[in-house]
Amino acid sequence: MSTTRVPQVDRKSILLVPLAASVAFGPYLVEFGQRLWMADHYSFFPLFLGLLGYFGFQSWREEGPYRPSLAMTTCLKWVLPALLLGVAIWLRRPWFAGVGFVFAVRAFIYQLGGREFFRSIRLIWYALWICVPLPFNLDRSLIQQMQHFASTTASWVLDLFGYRHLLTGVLLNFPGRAFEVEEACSGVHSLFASLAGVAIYGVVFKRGLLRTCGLLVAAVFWVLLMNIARILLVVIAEIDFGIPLADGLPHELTGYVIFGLVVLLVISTDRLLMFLLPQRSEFRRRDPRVAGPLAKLEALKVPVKTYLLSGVSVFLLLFGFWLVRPVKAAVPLRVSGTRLTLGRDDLLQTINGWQLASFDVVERDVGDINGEVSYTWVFEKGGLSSTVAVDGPFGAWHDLGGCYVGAGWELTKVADVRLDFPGEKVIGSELEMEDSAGQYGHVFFSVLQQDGTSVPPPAVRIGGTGGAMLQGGLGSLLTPRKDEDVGAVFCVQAFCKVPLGFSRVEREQHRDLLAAVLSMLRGRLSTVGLQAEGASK
Amino acid sequence: MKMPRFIRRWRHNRDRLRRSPLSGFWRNVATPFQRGWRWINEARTKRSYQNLWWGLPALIIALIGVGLGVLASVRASDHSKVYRQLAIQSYQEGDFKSARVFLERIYRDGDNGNEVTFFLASTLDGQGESQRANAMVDSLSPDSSVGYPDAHLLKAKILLAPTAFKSKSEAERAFHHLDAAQSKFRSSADWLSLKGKFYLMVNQPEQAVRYLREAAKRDPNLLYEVGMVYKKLGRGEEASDQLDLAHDHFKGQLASDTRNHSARMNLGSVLSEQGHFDQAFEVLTEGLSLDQDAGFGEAIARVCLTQYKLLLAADDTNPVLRLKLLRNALKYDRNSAEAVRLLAFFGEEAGSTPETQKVANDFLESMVATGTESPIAHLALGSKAWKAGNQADATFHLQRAYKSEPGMVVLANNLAWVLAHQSEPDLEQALGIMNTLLVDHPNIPHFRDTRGQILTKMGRWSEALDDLEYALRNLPKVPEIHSALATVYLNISPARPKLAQKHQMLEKAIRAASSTY
Repeated sequence: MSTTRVPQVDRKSILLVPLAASVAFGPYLVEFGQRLWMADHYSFFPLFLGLLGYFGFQSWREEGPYRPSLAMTTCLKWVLPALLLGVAIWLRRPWFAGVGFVFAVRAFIYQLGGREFFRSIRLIWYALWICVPLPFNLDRSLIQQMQHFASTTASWVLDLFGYRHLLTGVLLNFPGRAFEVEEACSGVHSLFASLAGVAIYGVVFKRGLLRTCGLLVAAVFWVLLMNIARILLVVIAEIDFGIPLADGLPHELTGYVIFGLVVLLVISTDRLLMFLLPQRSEFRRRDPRVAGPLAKLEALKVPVKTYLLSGVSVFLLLFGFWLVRPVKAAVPLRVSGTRLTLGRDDLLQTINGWQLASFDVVERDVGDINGEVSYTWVFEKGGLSSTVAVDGPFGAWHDLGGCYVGAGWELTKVADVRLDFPGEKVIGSELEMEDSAGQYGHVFFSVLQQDGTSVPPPAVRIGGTGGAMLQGGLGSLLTPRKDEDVGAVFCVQAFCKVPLGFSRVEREQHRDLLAAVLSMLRGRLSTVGLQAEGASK
Repeated sequence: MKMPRFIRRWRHNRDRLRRSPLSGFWRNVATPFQRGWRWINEARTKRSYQNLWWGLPALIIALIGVGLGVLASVRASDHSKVYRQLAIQSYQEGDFKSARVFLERIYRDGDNGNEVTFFLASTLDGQGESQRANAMVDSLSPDSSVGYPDAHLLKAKILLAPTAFKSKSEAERAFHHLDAAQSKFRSSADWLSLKGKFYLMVNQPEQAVRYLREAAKRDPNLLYEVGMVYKKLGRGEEASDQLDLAHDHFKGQLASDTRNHSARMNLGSVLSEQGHFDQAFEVLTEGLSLDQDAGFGEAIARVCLTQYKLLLAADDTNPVLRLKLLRNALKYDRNSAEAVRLLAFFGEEAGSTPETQKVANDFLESMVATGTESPIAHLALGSKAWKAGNQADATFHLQRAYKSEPGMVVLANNLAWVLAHQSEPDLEQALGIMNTLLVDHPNIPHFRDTRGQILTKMGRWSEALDDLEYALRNLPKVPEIHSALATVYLNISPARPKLAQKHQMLEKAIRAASSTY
């Protein structure tokens, strides 16, 4: 009788390495996590990481022990995370730390069980990448693309069904009623949660990398299709039957129903794939001698508790966005509740010949994507009417280009303009726009911090040319970040639209208006500052 | 020293392939295919049809979804005809909201031809978006060249809407637009009547009449206008002929459709101009019985006032009829400022002497005594007593008027408003009337509003503030109240400029909201 010696894991290094990694990655990972938490579509990440960790541990316990990698190989595996951490520290960009952490997990897996263990749980490791946002704000672009795709396709189908309407940006206008296809309706929130759910599903049922990738693609398709169906449902229910599904609880409920359907359709797609391209392991699992539902489950050699657990996991992840919402409301963002109280008199009645015509305040929910509060002043000069607005608070530089694209404008020019103020050069962004109705828009905006100083715009933003975005993106990614933490910021903008285009003088007049407004508001901010009201708002 | 595993593996593979490069190559190429083939065979024999049943819903829904999407995208450009029809239908029905949605859709889909642009501009104008509408019309009808005739005609209409040109260049622009619209509308009644109006405005009446008569030949509804132009020119006989023709035309229209309110209204005006006041009254009251909201009440009031002025001009000595006419005018249109003003100055019209005024007063008193039209006589006497400084008499008459007929309180309120807002306001008299009114009706916000406005004009800020704030609680959407409150807050001691600004802002917002469709 012979025995095989299984190499033992070095228990000291097992404890020491994660500890050292936590200390090294900790601060940047906290910031990285905060950013994920702030983005609605990544809010599910703590739940997801917990589940992945649990399944990884289960795999280690049930299928281990494995032979750990050699010390040399392990050391080599730790080089990349260390380098990425160094880059994160040097550039002060937590995104690199996030990427480095994923590689650190890989190195740790190798350290624990070597190549064999990594192969057995590599799907879990690949699933971790779902929590790493796309670079260059590509996830924001993806959101907008999805909104646009969902609205356009829904518009085509509505036309096919005879519902006559006008689509402007993401707004479906019917005579006397308009429906906005918000981010949530476009399926973007559920998309990331669905991807996470599919990854968990693949891990639990050992679907393999390629098959899981196929299911991820299918999940994207189903989320889009079901959300288009949701848009159609909301519109048709209200127009034909007078059932209001566009707001409040009914709207939420349609979301639950639609995403329940997404879950079922992803499972159905998996079974279809299993028929068309059966998994080799499936041949072994099928045993014609056993019959009955429980016996079938046993024949699959997957414990019933795994089914239950995976079902609960998928459910939790698919509804993750809604589940974390109350938690998010209870634990508000860093910027939430930061108030800037302004009034009509904070701007002069006449600014450079622009006459103040009206003033308004709009308050929104905590964490609203458009800011929790907006102060708007309407100024008029000659035939021009400009809406000056202060919106916020936001956690970072706010790209107004995206807002205007969503409203149906096409950006024809995006440029930065330097304004000289005593003691500081403020960089404002200028957007020139055109819509499909032949109207021209001019927006000039700047993002102000709590002390009245401006936040420089990022190199990559919506409306920039591809080359400039790539160049700027790489440049910005590889340039040390100057600000440690901008905290709560407010976006100050002036928007004007005309039917026949702007003359150079009109554009300059408009720019002068915002420059004067910025000067006044900066003065006010530097003396008063923002008041943090805390979480009780 | 033992090399790392990947190096050992690479060496192993290299050595293995070295043994026979061709066989190694073949093995690497063929193995995946062999495995694939084995897998297909195995899958074919061992695949579970239960999986197919589970997978069918996804397959069917995906096929339906993709099919629908493809069909919808292919047919996305086929709807412009339907949208065009819907836009025209909505526009003709006056449903500008719907017309705008459909026209914008056509326009944004790329069909921004002259016709669509023009209709969209008209719709936008109807919805209060005049800046964009004007820009569109301007682009269609340039001032220096020929563009889209419909837009030129519209521009001509806008320029010819006032009674006179502001400048010579405005007249030239109007002429240019009429000229540019000529190619399409040369023989249309609309264009001919505008051309006639243009000549009237540049003081060439003979030319004007020529065009207007041509216009009336094509559209007999214009006969009345032609008659009125002849009348203004002093060509009574021709005016009479045209009015007769207009009378016959509108009468015929009314005979064929008794619910043709426009024809009825025009017939009333023609009869009034012809001096057939009783018939005009009859025709219009019949219209009023058919439709309370079609403006027949105001038309009747106008007929009464026309007759009143005619009697006054003819030195009519029968004040009973005149007072009755005023009574009727106010009965059918309580808001007729002209009727209220005439009542307040009854007997004191231009050219009157103290004797005639005394006669008028005696007459009013005799009416009270005999019970003929006593409420309105009391109201007129009350107003006159205020003017004469006789407060006791004034209070007595006004109180009697209110008690005799409840509707007199509204008239009294209107009377006070007219007195306060006329070119030479009599604020004391207006305030006196309102004070008597508010004794019995202190909680009616409209009355408090009127008194607040009067007190504001008198500079009695704190009293005005009480009335206006009371009125505001019940009438928050009346811009005049906000305007008066803004004035009060600016002048009250200490001044409240922020509140004043707030009210100014609200006033503008309300006015803007009410001006949009």
